Amino acid sequence: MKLLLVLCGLMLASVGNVYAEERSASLDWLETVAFAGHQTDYSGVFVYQYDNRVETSKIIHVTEVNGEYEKLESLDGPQRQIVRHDGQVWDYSDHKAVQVESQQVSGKFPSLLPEQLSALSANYQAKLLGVERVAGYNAQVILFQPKDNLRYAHKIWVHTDSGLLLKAAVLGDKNKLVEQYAFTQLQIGGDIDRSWVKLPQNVSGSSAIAKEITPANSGWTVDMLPAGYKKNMEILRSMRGKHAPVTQMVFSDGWSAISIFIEPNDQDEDDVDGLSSRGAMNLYHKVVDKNLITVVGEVPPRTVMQVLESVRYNGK
Amino acid sequence: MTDREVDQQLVERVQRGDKHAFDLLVSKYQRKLGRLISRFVRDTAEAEDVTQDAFIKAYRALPGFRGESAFYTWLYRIGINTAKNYLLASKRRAPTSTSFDAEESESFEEASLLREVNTPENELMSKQVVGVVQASLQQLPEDLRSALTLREIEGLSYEEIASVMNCPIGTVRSRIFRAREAIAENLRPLLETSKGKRW
Amino acid sequence: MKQSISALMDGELFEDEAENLLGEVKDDATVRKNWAVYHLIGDALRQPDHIHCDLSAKVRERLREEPVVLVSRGRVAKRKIRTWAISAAASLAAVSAVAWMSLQISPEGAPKMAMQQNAARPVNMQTRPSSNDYLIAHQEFSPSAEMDGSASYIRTVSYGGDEAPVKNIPNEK
Repeated sequence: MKLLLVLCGLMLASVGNVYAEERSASLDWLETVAFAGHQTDYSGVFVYQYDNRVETSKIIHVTEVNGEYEKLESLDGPQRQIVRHDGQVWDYSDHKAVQVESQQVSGKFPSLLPEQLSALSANYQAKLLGVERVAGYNAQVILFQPKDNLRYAHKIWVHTDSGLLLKAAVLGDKNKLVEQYAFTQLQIGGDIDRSWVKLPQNVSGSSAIAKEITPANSGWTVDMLPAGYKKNMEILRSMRGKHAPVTQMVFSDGWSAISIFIEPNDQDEDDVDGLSSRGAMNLYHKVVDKNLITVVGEVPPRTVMQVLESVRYNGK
Repeated sequence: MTDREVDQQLVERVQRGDKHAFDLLVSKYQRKLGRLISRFVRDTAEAEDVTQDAFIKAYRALPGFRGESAFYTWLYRIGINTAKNYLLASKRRAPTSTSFDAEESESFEEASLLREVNTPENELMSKQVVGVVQASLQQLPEDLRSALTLREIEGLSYEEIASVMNCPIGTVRSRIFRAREAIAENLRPLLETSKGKRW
Repeated sequence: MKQSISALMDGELFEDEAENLLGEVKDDATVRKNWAVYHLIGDALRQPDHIHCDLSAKVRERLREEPVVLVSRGRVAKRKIRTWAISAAASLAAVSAVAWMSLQISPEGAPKMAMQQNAARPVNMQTRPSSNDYLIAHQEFSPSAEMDGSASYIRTVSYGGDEAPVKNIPNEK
């Protein structure tokens, strides 16, 4: 890796200025995107395309003095609504609100930190691809090409004016489309419906994921993560239907993350091995030494499998 | 010492009452932070004000900085929050901007006193600085130019540069210094003659 | 002296050397000036599109009104001096990274791993937390959520809970 870095450095040195400028321009765009996504009031309809399916959703996002509010509503299939206020997320389906997520970190804004940006530029090559039109707006197209085949390529279309993300595609091997979000209709700023802005009352039902979260060091290690994945955190958390706390480790290369969940396998049968996927998200389960291990990430199937195979207990 | 440790050392000096150490942090990060803030606050002069404000806020908050994160990460958050608050404030102000009250107009005035108006002169100056730096870089002998480029643009450590250039670390250190000094030599007359020595 | 400043800003001085050098900053304005010019050069190379005039004088001016910051010594973090261990660990990491890279290059690498698996079987959705729970728990900490905002939740919105489980895909070979 070091050798590779050094070679890259040598090759880049001659044309260093051009590359550095393009790279930093692309990263600037990312910072803008992360900021604009929080700061801009907008409402629109977007399609999410994955695994040969297309789904349409409506999104409204507004910033109030006490934070951001966002409402996401599925337009086809069963009615489903998700409301987010900063780090809190409520899921409205079957006429009840279930709080699915509550991040203990307040003032989460923005979490695209310099380390993340530098991790990004180490693991992906950023390229500005010109300007295209999306949903009637001009968008700067930027491609993030991974440096190996253990992660997906990401192509984003950023509104040149506001920095809002208009379209995002995840590309696999041979640039095959894995999933894609794209606005088909969008209003930026102006008169946007805020009547729904309030915190849900009478939250009922059990949390899908309880809020009990403590930092931990379980003694489990992962030997073969793709290069550039750094451990962000390791926690003990409770999960629905689980008596024992579940260990979760999160690793990230700046763009995508891989989570590893480890829990005692309290089921009799141990034939749970399996790979499942949804769009860019892949999930792999396997029982190792009476522990159920689950690896989830926005990475190709081969990556979650390889990562899982290298998880082992190293003692405390 | 890594770059992060250098920052930490500077921070600790400030925490012990050495204001000059804060100067070094400002001259190191002002343009990086300024560029970040200018992505959100489009007006150049306003962005400079917000950048200054962010540094002042950072100074005030510095006693609470424990070094859990890198200094720049911490500064970056302050920068972003300062920009965010500025935008929110101007958003709230916007509809009634014709009739802001006395208190506001006072702080407005104060801000514009401290603000360097973004004159064409200033812009020209930036272009000249960049021009001199780039031209000087091109004039450097190949080994000095590569060493500095690998350091400043590629961000390699001396050790890595030494293995790329196949020379001892001490040589890398001296090449980078000579490159910087040669460029600085061409830059100084420009900086010192500039009006009011603002540069 | 100037050369030490250059090395200091690259993080290539030992802590004691740095401490001595920084001690002189207080009395010697030329140290500060050189530090400022060298940083200006670096920024001019890295971000030529955004070079503005020096704000440090203005910030200094405004700080004149500010009380001097003082933190009691006990609270200032202590660090080790001259840790060779750090570079040793770094080169070790480099070696294992190279080994890892070569594993990737070997064409058998990935498929072999996949072949060790039995054919995939559906996950029992009734007795385990649904895959959705893992997806949401994962998403909470993924940087991609930062980019897409709650649009990234569409992955979990799109198929509500158990009635439409995550698609299981058979192992390709």
